[in-house]
Amino acid sequence: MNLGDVMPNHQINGDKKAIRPLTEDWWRRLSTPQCMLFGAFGLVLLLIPFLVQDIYFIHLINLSGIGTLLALGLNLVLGFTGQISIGQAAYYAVGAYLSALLATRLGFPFWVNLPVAGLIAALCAIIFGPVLRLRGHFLAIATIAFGEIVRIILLSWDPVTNGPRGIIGIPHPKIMGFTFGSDARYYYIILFTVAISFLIVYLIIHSRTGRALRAIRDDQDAAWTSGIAIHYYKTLAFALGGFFSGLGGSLYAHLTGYISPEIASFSQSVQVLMMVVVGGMGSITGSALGALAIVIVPEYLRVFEHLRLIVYSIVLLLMIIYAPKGLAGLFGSISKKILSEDQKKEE
Amino acid sequence: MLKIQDLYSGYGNITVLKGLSLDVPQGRIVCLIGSNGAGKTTTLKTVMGLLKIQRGQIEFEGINLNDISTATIVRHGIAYVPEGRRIFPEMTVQENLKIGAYSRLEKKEVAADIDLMLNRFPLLARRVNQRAGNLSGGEQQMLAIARALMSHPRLLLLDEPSMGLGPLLVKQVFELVKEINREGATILLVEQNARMALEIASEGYLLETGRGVMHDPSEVLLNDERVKKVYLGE
Repeated sequence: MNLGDVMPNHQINGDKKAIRPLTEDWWRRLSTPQCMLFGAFGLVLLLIPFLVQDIYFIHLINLSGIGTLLALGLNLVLGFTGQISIGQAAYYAVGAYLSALLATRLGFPFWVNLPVAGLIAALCAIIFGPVLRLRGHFLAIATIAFGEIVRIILLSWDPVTNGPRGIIGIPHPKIMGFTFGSDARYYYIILFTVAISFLIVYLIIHSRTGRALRAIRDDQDAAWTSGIAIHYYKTLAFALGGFFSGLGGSLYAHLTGYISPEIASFSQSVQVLMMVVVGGMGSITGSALGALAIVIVPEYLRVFEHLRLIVYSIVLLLMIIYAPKGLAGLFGSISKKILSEDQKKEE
Repeated sequence: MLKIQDLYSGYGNITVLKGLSLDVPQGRIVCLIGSNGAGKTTTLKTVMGLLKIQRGQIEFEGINLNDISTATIVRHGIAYVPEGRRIFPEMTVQENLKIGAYSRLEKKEVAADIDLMLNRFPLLARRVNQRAGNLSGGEQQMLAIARALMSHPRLLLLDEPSMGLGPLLVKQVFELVKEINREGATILLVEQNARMALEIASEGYLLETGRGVMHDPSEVLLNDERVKKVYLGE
């Protein structure tokens, strides 16, 4: 074969590849079982308010949706960048209070408050930035301190935050004359925000920026010597984490109509941490699974009455020992097993 | 190409390098030998900007590296293969290579370079989408070197590339280093395995307590009685 034979062939193949994805390939990709499953799952999510009659349960789902945003934010910091933060509730509280104040004092509409809450929470994280030079335990303590500072400000800056009494009468969102008053209606706002956030995080994680974040998680020094500006990306991760937590705070304020400094408490931060650990560090879907588990499971443990918290802690301990990669890792390995058994059958 | 003059550097308050001067001419393989704690790794880390220069000066192709960030140093054409490999274990082989090219923005050329690198290292090609942490020690060392090459370095700093590898792999790694050098990259090599290092290097520095005590062509060092006794184990 001479060179002349090779070149045109090569070019034809190249052309085919360029055209295909627009036509058949797309359809083939969309008609895979995974995509069908994904579509069906999306449909179920859209229909949940109609499928579930129990209003309290929808309220819990809404709270897990807000938890998902918090977990997603912390996952960017902890799961993808490997930096500990036990002060995520601070950003959540900043988002919630900002949104509440903008709505009750200045009468700003919800759709303005939501992004502003996210951005200001992100700004708080950037101000916190210089502390990120700390590593490990020291960083953990600094983030706890940051959480406490925010809580104490909210508690004692009475003229603005109303101190321990909190802020009441935060209006439900109204978009083009339609009020999202009930939990069933509010559900769609949360679903929409969570879906967009998932997409954003997915795109970030698979971009050049995401690779830099994961490289810092895997080996900070090696990332540094590869020419990655460590401090910039750590600050970015915290800012993004703050942004999603701020969105969660805004959603919470407009959902319940009442907030108090309690939402910046240490236990709230620990709860977010548990969502990430239980759901799976470094897994986007894990954030949702973890939030659902941490919000909903305790409700069903009420049958144990006063032993509830003990049972809850035992479940958590078992999770950490036997499923260190969280629910996402657990489901992942189960589905892998099923798939490999299917393959065996086919053979 | 790389000029270090009267360099003092170390960790925090501890000064490891106490007045080191060395010169790496273009196109050569220069090796640093010496016992543990002599300051070999510290030298490489200081060149990369990972440690603060306390006194003295580092110059690369006429550019003063003293107050330049690591990211900029990489962009100037220096790459570093750290001791103990230090690949990114949870990322795929391909992602590891992409991180190596982090300082370069031309997407297409980087993609082409990854293909070249996979051709060069067929072992890596087979596992391109696997977790890098699953690779064997030798494969990880190859990946660490390949990753460093992705930034198109003109000067490659290698820290103990033979560490923890079997004799056959050590030989392969040293062959690879020679090949990289033939292709045009200058190499500054730090090695415990002084004999192997001196055999591929054109010249060597003997470091003792943070200073260069000898600087000679490799053959001279290999035949020096004291070096033989203390560092070559004869």
